[in-house]
Amino acid sequence: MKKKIICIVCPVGCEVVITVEKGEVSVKGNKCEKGLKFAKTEALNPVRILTTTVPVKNGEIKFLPIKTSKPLPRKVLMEAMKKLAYVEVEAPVKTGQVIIKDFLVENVKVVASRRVKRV
Amino acid sequence: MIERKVDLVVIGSGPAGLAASIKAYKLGLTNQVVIEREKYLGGVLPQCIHPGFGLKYFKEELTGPEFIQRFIDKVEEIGIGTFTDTTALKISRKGEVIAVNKKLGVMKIKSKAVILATGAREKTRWDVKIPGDRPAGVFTAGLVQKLINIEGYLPGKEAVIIGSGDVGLIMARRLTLEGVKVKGVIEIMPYPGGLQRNIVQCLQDFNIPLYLSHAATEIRGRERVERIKIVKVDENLNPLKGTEKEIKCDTVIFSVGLVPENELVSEIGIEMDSNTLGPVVNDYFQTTAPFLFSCGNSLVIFDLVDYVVENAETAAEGVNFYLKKGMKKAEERKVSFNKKIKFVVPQRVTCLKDVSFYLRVKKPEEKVFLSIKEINWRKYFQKIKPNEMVKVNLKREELLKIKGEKITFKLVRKS
Ligand SMILES: Cc1cc2nc3c(=O)[nH]c(=O)nc-3n(C[C@H](O)[C@H](O)[C@H](O)COP(=O)(O)OP(=O)(O)OC[C@H]3O[C@@H](n4cnc5c(N)ncnc54)[C@H](O)[C@@H]3O)c2cc1C
Ligand code: SF4
Repeated sequence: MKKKIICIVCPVGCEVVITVEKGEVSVKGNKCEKGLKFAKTEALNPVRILTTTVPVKNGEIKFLPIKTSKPLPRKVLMEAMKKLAYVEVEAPVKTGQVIIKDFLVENVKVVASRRVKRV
Repeated sequence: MIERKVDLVVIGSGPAGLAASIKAYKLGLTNQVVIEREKYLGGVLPQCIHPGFGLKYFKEELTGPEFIQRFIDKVEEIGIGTFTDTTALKISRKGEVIAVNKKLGVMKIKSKAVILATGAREKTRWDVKIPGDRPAGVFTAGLVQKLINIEGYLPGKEAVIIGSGDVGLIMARRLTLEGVKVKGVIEIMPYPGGLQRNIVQCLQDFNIPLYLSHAATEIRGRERVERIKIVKVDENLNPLKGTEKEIKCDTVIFSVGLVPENELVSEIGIEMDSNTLGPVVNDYFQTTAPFLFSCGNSLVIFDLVDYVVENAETAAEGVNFYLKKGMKKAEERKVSFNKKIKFVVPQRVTCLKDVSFYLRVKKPEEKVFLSIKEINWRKYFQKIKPNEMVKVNLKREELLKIKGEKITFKLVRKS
């Protein structure tokens, strides 16, 4: 299997060619180590950080921006959104506060992206 | 009417305004106020909930709210005076700022210096002149972002995005995640306006079609948008007969670029740059009115917030220098550039310090040298694109080598 992908780790956006033959993975075109790691996961099981919002009760704002602490497999993103549709939090919230502990994947947390004061 | 006397007024509380304010405070300018039109501090960052901020400045990847929260926390911690819900209406030639606050009414603030950090406004349907009906359901991408992420509303059910700038791409993903069907992104140029990484993670991840070299020609609908017409264009952007296509949708979102917001200074008569649409500044980001400094997207459209913060901090140093030592308006060298370059900021250099230049090219180029004739400096680029701002750092010693009054940037093909 041969795949051309664009490294999205940083804005440089290197074109990386990845070849998988008999379980051996070889990567070409990356300018740094991060690109190597990214290309390998991208070809086999692409992952993404998910960001969205959830409603917050009694807060200075109505919606709390949240993110996953680690990237989730790309194929579960829509399922993740459905799960999060039922989540609501209550102010006050601290930046980085854990909203959900093991979210779909073990050790992936959903955390608050900002603080919300209670009003 | 409320009257105040301060050393510095910062207009706008986005990353530019807050970074400038904090830096100025640290330099000893404690008697200052920040004015913000919105109900909250932070500019556009509270609504930019995606990751991609701060890789250079904080050396980690943050979301917009996380990035700006660090600045807001700092402003609150040191106790800088901020007025939200307050719009600056006028700046006089003497540095007096007239503003209006929803509850307090009109405010008159006498100040020794002003930093303009008013950000940008989005271009709309009328800037790109797309004919047709005038139904409901036509938005700009930044507005949709605010509606979804701050207010919690979805704009429609089936959307087409016009323009492939980063804001539009990011909204394509955001809408899809929220269950809106994004039926395509229409781009008139043969290359996308946004970063490659956003093409991958915002469009390809969700199989959203990208129509390059396509123009939107009509928006149709009686009360609500019903469909949009598009056509393929040739390399001179002329429509190709027989390639017309209709896409059914109830929402059309424009992501066709940003324009620096400078309405406030139009009356003072400072020199403006027709390439950036921001003021002409020197390397302290001082405009041609000595008390007035400009930074962030109101100076020039930056794509990275890290550069915004960096130049805002330099503007604060400029204000400090101006107020404490009295910056002489004497020797400034003029920056010029060749046809392949769209702009270079700053447009003047004092040669009193090291300088970071920010520039953009007009078209994508390959295998080129960026050179500065006067000092025998050049740098090679394998690829250089309009959507990625180039930053060039030059040391003061190098700048002092310039003999004449000019410093000339040139982009030339490797021969
Ligand atoms: C959708 C989107 C995605 C982006 N993605 C990224 C990314 O991934 N990574 C990255 O590094 N950058 C990104 N950026 C760019 C970054 O957000 C901007 O460069 C940055 O916000 C510009 O900061 P600013 O302070 O100049 O302007 P703004 O954040 O626009 O702030 C200007 C402020 O001035 C206020 N104001 C204007 N006029 C007045 C007035 N007359 N009186 C009082 N207040 C006034 C406005 O209300 C506003 O709050 C993105 C931008 C957008 C829109
Ligand atoms: S390979 Fe390295 S330099 Fe290239 S895009 Fe990926 S992270 Fe950036």
